[in-house]
Order: sequence, then C-alpha cells, then structure tokens
Amino acid sequence: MCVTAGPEGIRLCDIFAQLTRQSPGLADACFDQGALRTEYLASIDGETFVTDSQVMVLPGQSLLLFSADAGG
Amino acid sequence: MTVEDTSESAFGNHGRYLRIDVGSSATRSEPIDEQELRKFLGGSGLGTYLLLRENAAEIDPLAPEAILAFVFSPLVGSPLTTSAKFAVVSKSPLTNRLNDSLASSRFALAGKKTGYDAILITGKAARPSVVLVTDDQVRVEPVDGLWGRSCPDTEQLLRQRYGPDFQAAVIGPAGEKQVRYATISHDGRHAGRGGSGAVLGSKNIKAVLVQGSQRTTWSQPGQLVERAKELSEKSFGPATAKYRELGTAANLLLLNRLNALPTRNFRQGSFDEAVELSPEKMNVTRDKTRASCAACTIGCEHIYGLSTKDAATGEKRQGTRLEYENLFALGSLCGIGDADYVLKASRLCDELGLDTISAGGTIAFAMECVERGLWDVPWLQFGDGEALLKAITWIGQRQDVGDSMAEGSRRLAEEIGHDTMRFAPQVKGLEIPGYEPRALQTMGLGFAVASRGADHNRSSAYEIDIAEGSQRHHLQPDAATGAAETENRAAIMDSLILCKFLRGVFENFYQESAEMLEMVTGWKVNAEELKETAQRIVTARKWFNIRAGWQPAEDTLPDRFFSESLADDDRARMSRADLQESIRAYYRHRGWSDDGWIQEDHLQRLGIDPSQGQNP
Repeated sequence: MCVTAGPEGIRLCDIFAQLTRQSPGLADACFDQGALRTEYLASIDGETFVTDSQVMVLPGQSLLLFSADAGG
Repeated sequence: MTVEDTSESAFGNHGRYLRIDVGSSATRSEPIDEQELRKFLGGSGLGTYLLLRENAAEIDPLAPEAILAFVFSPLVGSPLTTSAKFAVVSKSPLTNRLNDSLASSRFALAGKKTGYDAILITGKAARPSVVLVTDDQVRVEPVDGLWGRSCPDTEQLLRQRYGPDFQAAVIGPAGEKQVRYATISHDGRHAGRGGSGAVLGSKNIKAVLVQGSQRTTWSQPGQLVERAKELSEKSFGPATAKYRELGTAANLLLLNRLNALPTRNFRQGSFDEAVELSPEKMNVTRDKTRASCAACTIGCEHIYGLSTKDAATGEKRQGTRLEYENLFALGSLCGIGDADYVLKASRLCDELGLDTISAGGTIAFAMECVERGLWDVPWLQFGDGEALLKAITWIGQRQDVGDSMAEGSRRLAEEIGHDTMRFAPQVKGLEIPGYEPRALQTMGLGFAVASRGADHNRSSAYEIDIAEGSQRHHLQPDAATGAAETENRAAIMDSLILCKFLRGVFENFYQESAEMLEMVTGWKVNAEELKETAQRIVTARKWFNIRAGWQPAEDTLPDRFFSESLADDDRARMSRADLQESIRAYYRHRGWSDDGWIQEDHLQRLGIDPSQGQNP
C-alpha cells in the first residue's frame, strides 16, 4: 500500500490512520487508539524496528508491519 | 511383566519412572525424589536429569546400552491449554550431544496415565518389536508386517491390532534404517530433531504404545480450572492470531523481506519464488483445513492439499501439514519454488519419519557440492523437484547416495572433503533452521551456543534481532543476555510443558508459570525459583554435553557466515571476533568459564550432581 506523505516525511501514527482508512479491517487487528498493538511490530526498510508511533518515516522509505510473535 | 510400585504419587507427578530393557525384557520402576522433580520439573528438564542419572552421556547413541526417554510433566493431563505434550530425550546419533525434542497430543496423556513420569527404553530387542505399557504391565512383542511401513500406516495398523485406546509413538522406515535424523512420530506430529527415531530403530523397536488409567491429582483443582479458563481465553486473542490465520508459514514472506530466508544452501537471503510458497498464496489456490493437538485451543496446524488429483484414483490427494521450517528447508533452501513439490516432499518426510530441516539442509548442501563439481551426483540440482523427492526417498531407505546423505551434512562433508565443511549448514552436526544468521545475528549466537546444535526452539534469539533498537546485522556483546533469556524461557516451557506458541499471552511469564505449577503440584514456587530452575536445566544440558565430549570449538558457525556476505545483501556478514566475544559474554552470563566449562561448585550451587564425570 502507498500512503501520502509530505516532503519531510510522515509520522507512524499518521500512516496508521491512512492505512485504516484504506483497509478498515486493519483497524481492529493491528491498531489500538491510533497506536500499533503490542502484538505487532513495525520496521522501517526492514532495518529499524520501532514501536513509537511518533517516529518519522521519510519519503521513499518502506514500512513493514508484522506479528511480534516472529518465528515459531 | 508386572512392575512393582516403588514410590508414592505426589500432586501432578507419579514420583517414578519406568526403565525397560527391551533386550532382556527386564523392567524396573525407579523412584524420583520430589525434590528432584521440583528442580527439573518434567519434559526436557526431567529428561536431562534422568539421562545424567543413568550415565547416558558416554554411551554410543546407537549402542544397545543407549537410553531413550519419553518424558511427561506435571501439567500433562491438566486442563491447561497446550499441555498435552511429551519430550523425547536421548543422546543424538547426529550430534553425539544431548537431544531433547518434543511432540504433542494423546500419547502424552495416555503415557502419563500408565503411572510414570517417564518411560526409559534401553537394550536391543532380538527382532523388530513393539513395547506396550499399560498401568503396571509391560510387554515387548515381536511384530510382523510393520517393519518397513510408513509412520501413518504403522499407527493405523497398530490401532487395528491393539485397539483405539492405545496411543503409539512410532518410527518410519528412516528410523529402521537408523538415518541419523529420523524422527519419532505420533498422530502426524514428530519429535523431529536430532535423530531419536534412529535410536529407537537401533533397538529394533518400531513403536511404543501406552494405555493407562492412573491419573495424578492437583493440589488446587478449583483454582487450576479457573486459571485454565483464563488461559484458554487469552489463547484465542491477538497474541496467537498468526498461528490461527496462517500458521508458522506466516514467517516466510517476512523473513524473505528481511533477506533472512535461507536460500540455496545459505548463499542468499531471499528467494525469487517465495510468494509461490507463501501461505497467503496457497490459501487462495488450494484446499486447506486446520487441526490442533489434543488439549490445545490455538489450532496452529494448517493442512494443504495438492493442486492436482491422484492420477490413479482421480481423487483429491490427502493434505499435508505445512510449517515454516518445511517451506524453507524443502523450498527456498533447495531452490524449489513449486509448492506442490514442497508439499509432496513434506509428506514424504512425514511418511518416512525424517526431520525436514536436516533433510533439506543435507540435500541443499549436497546440491551445492554437485554444482561445484565436488560430488558426482549430476541429477541432484538446485530447483529440481523430482531430484528432491528422489533424494528424500533414497535417504529414507539408505539407498545409493542416500546412504551418505542419511548421515547428515557434517558427516557428508567429511566424506566429500575438499573443504566442503566450510559451507555445511550445521552446528554440532544439527542442520540450521530457517533463519539466516548473517541477517539475524543474535539468532546466529543462539545457534552457536545451544546445547542441541543449531536450534530455533531452544533459542528464540531472533526476538532480540527484531526488537526496538536492535542492530540485526551487527552482533552486540550485550545481546548475549537477551539470547540467554530466550533459552531460559524455552527451558521452562519445554519442562512444564506448555507450547511456545502461548508465549505471547503471558504478561509475567515466570510469575504466571509459578502460579500454575503451584496449583498443580502444591509446591510454593515463585518466579525467582523458576528462573533458577531455567538456569539449572540449561546448565545440566551443557554438563551432559561436556561429559559426552564437548569442546569449545563446537560453539561456532560454519565458516561461510564469516567469509562470505549474502549474494543478495553485501551488508550481511558475520564477524568471527564479534561472535566469539558474544559467546564469551554468554558463558559469563551463565556463570561458566570464559571458554564454556562449568566449575563443580557452580553445578552444586544449582543442585546438579557432579559426581559422575568431570571437566578435563
């Protein structure tokens, strides 16, 4: 999915808001009051793993959302 | 044979184990002191204690004197979800080190109702036989018509012969042939790693059947039932959603995206055809059903059908359970992008009784040797699904070059020579699971130090690699503490026994585990005691390995991970110096010497008896 960001980037929480508008099913599963649920993790470009929804994602970067219960 | 009861039952435990010599048919009930049960719990912990007590460390794992233990736990038979599990503990014929593998379902429940906390098998039967254990009776019976049968066929025939009340743990043809990574199987689930099937096969035992009526009681049954309801409710929540929705196969595209999906014998971290193997694609292109173990509310098993019908009958083929490790080991690792071949290969491993990780790892290694012109088996090519199936079949029968591959990648590298050990994907002889160490370097540390060999179940150190603030491409010395903690948690879960897929539902794992344990056993256990128990179990495993001949040089990774970057990610390379520094930090965290040895006073402080064997 693509989200709209300004030239300086976009906060994670704003990405989450756009995602839930595009895919409402994500809202209950992944987010809790605008923040990522503890059962999920976010990774920027597959390198940086973040939970703080105020983190900025820069233009051109990719965001990966996945189960925190990796492995198995 | 009637076995005399020599002990009293406590809450949750019977306080004894059964020792069966299948050669002489002698049986013995041995008491287990309640203090020892409290120190080692059950499952993996108790199995390690029993093997140390039986002096199994110095015995050839395929010799008649070798010991193989089926071990239950205090929580087996309780209403706690995922508690119907058992451990199979022995010395591994693949690694010559301690091997504890777990499997699930009704065998655990029936086995504990025979009246024992563990059933130990030793000796060698004169001819292919089965062992039947019922309450206090044991029979070792020769079998006709079972030797050579697949795992599923064997269980079905045993049900017909002995009735549905028996539960059976069986070996397939691979175990009979003593393939060094043969499994023990029950109801389609395998005690998979380390070759316990070969140990049972070396004893001429095709199956162990259990049936009993002796239940243990619980100290606080009312509270236990309430806690079980709460745990079940949590098990339906978001922390386990992945397992219900896609199963462990959900890891595939994530790890591919992180360049952490081992591909073509660990030369690449991503696979072009990963999408074709993904559960996301298979969910919409083929039939799927779900199943669960007995006493489990999660239901992580996803069973996929083949896309084609049987040529002879025209019927849809039976489905195959598919886990992430199968998809990686029989898929990307061998360059196979056709899901039908991966499903067929998985099914073949299930039928033969083969560990899919070791099978895939050994075959992928062999494929690279062929590609390099170092092994003259021209049909064994990366990406060739028919070659994969042929290799698995020949391994299971020890036929032709399958006989060499049945020895595992380390021994195959020794046979082929030409410095191929450099890229044999194993640690201590156990093939590496589906996490690329150069892309998840704390997991690489976990692989290097785990007592069983390269192991994603005893260590889940990949959690450290994907945690906030992590640097997964650069091993940090303080990662050792986190890696050790994942081992500790796994040691407790494998000894209580509870399924690790529950780990996300706990807010305070040790405290909640202590409470459940007290409700079952009546022991006044707290979180601190369980943390020490974890340390004890991990150290006991290491002590077993030391007595079995462990040397510091074993705790490392194949040279490839230090000398080569991933072909598709040149950042991904490990530093040998950084790994060695982290390993030393891990040892210090454990209270061992900088080289990984254990002092006698440390063993005694942890309550491990050092009286047999000693450090060199």
